[in-house]
Amino acid sequence: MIAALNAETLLLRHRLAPLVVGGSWIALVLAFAFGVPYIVYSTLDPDATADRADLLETLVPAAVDSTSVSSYPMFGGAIMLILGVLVTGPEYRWGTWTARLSQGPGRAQVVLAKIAAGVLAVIAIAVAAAVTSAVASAVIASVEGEPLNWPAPVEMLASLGGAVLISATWMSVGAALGVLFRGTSVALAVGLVWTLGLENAIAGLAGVIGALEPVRAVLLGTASGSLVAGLGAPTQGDGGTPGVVDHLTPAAACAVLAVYLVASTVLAVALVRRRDIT
Amino acid sequence: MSIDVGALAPSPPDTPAVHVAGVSKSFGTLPALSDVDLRVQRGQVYGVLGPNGAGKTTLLRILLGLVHADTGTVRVSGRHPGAPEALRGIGALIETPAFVPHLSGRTNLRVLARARGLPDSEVQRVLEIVQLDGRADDRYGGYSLGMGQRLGVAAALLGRPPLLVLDEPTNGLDPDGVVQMRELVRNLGTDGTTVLLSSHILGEVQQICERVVVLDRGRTIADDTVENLRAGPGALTVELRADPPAPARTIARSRFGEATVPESDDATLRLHVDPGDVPALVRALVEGGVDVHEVRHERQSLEDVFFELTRHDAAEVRS
Repeated sequence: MIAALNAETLLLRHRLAPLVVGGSWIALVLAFAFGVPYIVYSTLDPDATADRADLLETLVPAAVDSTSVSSYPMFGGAIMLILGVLVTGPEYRWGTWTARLSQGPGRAQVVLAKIAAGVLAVIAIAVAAAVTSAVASAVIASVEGEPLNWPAPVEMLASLGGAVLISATWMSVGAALGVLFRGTSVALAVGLVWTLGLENAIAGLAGVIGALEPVRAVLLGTASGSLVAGLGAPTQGDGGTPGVVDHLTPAAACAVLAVYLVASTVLAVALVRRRDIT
Repeated sequence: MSIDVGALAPSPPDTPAVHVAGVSKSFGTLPALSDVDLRVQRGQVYGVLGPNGAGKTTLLRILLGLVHADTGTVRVSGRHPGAPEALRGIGALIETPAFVPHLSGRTNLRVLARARGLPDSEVQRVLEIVQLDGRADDRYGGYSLGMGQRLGVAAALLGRPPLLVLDEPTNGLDPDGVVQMRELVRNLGTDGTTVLLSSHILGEVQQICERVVVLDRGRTIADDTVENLRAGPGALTVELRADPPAPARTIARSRFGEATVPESDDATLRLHVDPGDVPALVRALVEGGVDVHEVRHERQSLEDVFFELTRHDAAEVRS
C-alpha cells in the first residue's frame, strides 16, 4: 500500500489538476469570502453603521475560522468533486489502467492509493486556502484598523478539519463517479448536475413537501452545510453563504459525510476489482 | 524501499512459470477463449501466435489478472493471476503501450517503479537498455510510435522480472529497433528469464522462441516446439527445375501420385516427398529425356506452418 501511495502521490504531484483546481478554489475563497464582501462593505452607506459592523465582523481574523470554511458546502464541494473525477477518470482516456494494475499492488490498493493521494491533495489545498484566508483577513483588519485577534487554535483546527472532511468526501465521490462512468466527461456532468441541480432542488422542495425532509437530511450538500454552520458560519437564512444550513447537528453532519466518504471509496474499489481491464 | 523480485519467489523451482488449464472466457455472448491449456516452464521463450481476434491478448491479460477467466485454472509462478506476489514477478507490455501523455517518459517510468518499490536508478537502467535515455525527459505525448514502444518495453523490464509478457514488442520499431529487440529477448531468454512473446512477425518468433502455442478463434490448434512444428506434415519441399517441365511433372506424378506434385505455372516442380526419394527421381527424369538443372530442399518455415494450421482450422469451422 505504501508503494502504491508513493506512486500515486508522485503522479498527482506532476499533474496539473491539483494545481488548477486548488488555485481556482483559493481564488474563489479570496473573491467570494473576502473580496466581494469587502467591496460591499466599502460601498455601504457610511451611516449604516450596524450593517457595516456586522459585515466587517466576518472579515477580520477573529472570524477567519468560520468565514474561510463557509464557501465549502456548495462551491467547494463542486470543485473538489471535479478534482476527484480528475484523479480517476483520465486513466480510462489515457488507457493507463493496464500499466497501473500490473505493477504489484493489488487493485484495491491502487484505488485506495489514488483516493488517498487525492485526500493528501485536498489537505494541501485546504491548508493553503486557510492560510490565504488568514492573510486576507489580516490585511483587511490592518486596513480598517481592527485588532489582529485570532480564533483559538482549537477553533482553527476544527475549521481546517471540517474543510478537509468536506473536501475529501466530495473528492472521493468524484473519484467514484470517474470509475463508474469510466472517464471524465459523463462523470463531471452527472456530478455537477447532482451537486448544483438535484441536491438544491430536493433541499428547496423539502421546505414545502414534508416527505422529502428525510431525504434532504442525508444529502451531501446538507451535511456539508450543517457542519459549516456548526463551525460558527451564519446560515444562508441568516444572510450567510449559500449552502450553509442547520438541518443537522455537527455530529450527524460528520457521520453523513463519513458514510459518503466510505461508500464512494468502497464503490470505486468494488468496480475496479470486479471489471475486466480490456 | 527496493524490492528484490527474486526474494518474492518462494514457490518450488519446478513450478511452471505459467500454468493455464481449461480456461474459457467470453465477453458478453462473444467467446474469446475456449478451453485453452498452456504450460510454460521457467526459462522458456514461448511464442503465442494467432490471427487477429484469436484470443492472444485476452490470454495475456488473464495471466496479469486484468481479465477474469470464466472457467479453468490459471497460475503464474504458482500464484493466482493478479495477486501482488505474482504481479511483482511479471513485466508486461500489452498491446499499445499507454502512459500519461503530458509527463516525460522518465516520470512515467518513475511512477511505475515507485509502485514496485524500486529506486529511480532502476529507471535509468531500463532507459539505457532500450536506448531511450537521450529522450527520456521529453513529454511522452510527443514520442513516435517506436519510442513509445521502447518506453513500454522499458516499463516491462523494471525490476528484472523473472517472467516477461510481451505483446507485439516490435510494433512500430524501425529495422534497427527490431533487431535490437530480438537480441534483447534472446539475451533475456539466455539469462533465464521466462518470456511469453506474442508477435505477428513469424520469422522473428521462429528465431527467438523454443515453443509456440497457436490460437485460432479462442481455441488452441497447436502447442509444440518450433522444431516439431516445422518437421510436421509437408515439412520439406523439394524444388526441382527441369526442362521440359510437362514430361517432368508426368514422370514425377507417376512415381509419387498426383497430390504430391501440385500444378505450377513455371518450370519448377515443387514436391512434398521424402528427400531420400530424390536421387531415384532425378535418374528417372534423365532417363526420360528431361534435363535437370537444379534440385533444392526447402524446409517449411513457421509461417508456412501457421498458415497451414489456421487455413485448416478455418475450413473445419466452415464445414
